[in-house]
Amino acid sequence: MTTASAAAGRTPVTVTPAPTWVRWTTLALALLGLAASTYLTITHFEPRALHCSVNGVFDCAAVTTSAQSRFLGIPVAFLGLAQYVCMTVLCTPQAWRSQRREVHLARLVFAAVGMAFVLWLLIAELLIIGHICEYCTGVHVVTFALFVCIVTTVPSMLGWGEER
Amino acid sequence: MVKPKRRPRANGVLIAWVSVGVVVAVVLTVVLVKTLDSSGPQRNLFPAASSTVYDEVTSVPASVFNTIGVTSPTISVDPHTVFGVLKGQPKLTQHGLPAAFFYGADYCPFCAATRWGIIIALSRFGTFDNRTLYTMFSSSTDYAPNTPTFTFYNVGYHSKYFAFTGYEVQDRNHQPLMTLPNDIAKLVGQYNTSQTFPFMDIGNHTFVVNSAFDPLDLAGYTTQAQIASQLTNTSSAVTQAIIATANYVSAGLCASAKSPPASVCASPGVTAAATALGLKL
Repeated sequence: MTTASAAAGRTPVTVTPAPTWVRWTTLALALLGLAASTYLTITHFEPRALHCSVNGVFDCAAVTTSAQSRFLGIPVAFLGLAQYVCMTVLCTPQAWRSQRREVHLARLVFAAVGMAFVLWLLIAELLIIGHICEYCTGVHVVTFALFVCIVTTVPSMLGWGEER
Repeated sequence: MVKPKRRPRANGVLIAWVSVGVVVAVVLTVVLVKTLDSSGPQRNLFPAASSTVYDEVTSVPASVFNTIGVTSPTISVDPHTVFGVLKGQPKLTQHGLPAAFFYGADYCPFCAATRWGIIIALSRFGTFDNRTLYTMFSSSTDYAPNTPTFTFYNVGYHSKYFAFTGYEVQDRNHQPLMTLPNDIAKLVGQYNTSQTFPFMDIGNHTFVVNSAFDPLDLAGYTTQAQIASQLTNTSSAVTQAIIATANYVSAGLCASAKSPPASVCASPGVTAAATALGLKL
């Protein structure tokens, strides 16, 4: 890439490495999210496998069987699983070391879209369905932590905000 | 000549932390709105049953279901004129789960009698929102006046085995209460051509039309608490009629539910009901 850029007469654009703790923390968070979203996807198709407490506030069956459990006809649990499969790949040490800006941009976009979706689901749980699903909340917390790690790291890696 | 400095781009780190702040602000706002909303008045128009009544109705011991089974020596519980099984119908589903719905009216005394068994059956598979039931009495001027019961008006129910919705289309004074969604109205028109109250469609497979026992059998009971407190007494005629109804409804739910619990569906009371209705569990 550097060679190609130089050949084209442009200044090569480098990607600053991410701190080591960010690489491993995001990988751990992505794996956690992957595990939780896998479980939620399984229970979407096999409700009997869902084990959760039921009281006035917590009722995961109420959430996972609600109208809001689908987005454009697709189970939200499945969308979460797809998100975390991609996020796990994008948070591997190899992906963090990549000099391709698109890899880091993709990670940033996935984190932002995931966070926006989590906010919608939180609104749906609290204000529409009236119940909270503890496993979904676990995924939401992981998504928020990933969002914080990525959004505070990737812009600096890409040199955003630096003077030209 | 000094070349003017380019204006620096917005600080990326600042933008990052502002976006985190926006997320936190949205979360806090939603939680605050929810907190303020839940401190408001009850959404249901009708008085909530006490927690004791709720527990007595929704936690009937398995031994009671199995001891009573499907008959009562005192009160006639006739399944064949009330429960119907139709094979080969398109499955009724909601959000990917098998579905059931109740169609009735608060004034209707036959609905009042039938709701006891339906609620008890539903409680074996799931829970009612906020662990609350709302009390109701049938019309004071109709047959079996003031029969103590509950209403499904604005009552949410959740189960991992099937979805259930109750529709009370008229209130205690025969005034319109809930409007049927078009798809439900179509099913009522198709499977309950006489528009009889009560009507329950379980997965387009098992149907309840009318009451399995006479609401006059509940005469003498003036409160829900009086009936609820009898639900562990297997020699009570009223308990026998209610629990027999619950076993029939449970059998219908077992036949349509997704991977239903064996603790309910393989129990002697439910299997006896399934045999009587010709249902395969």
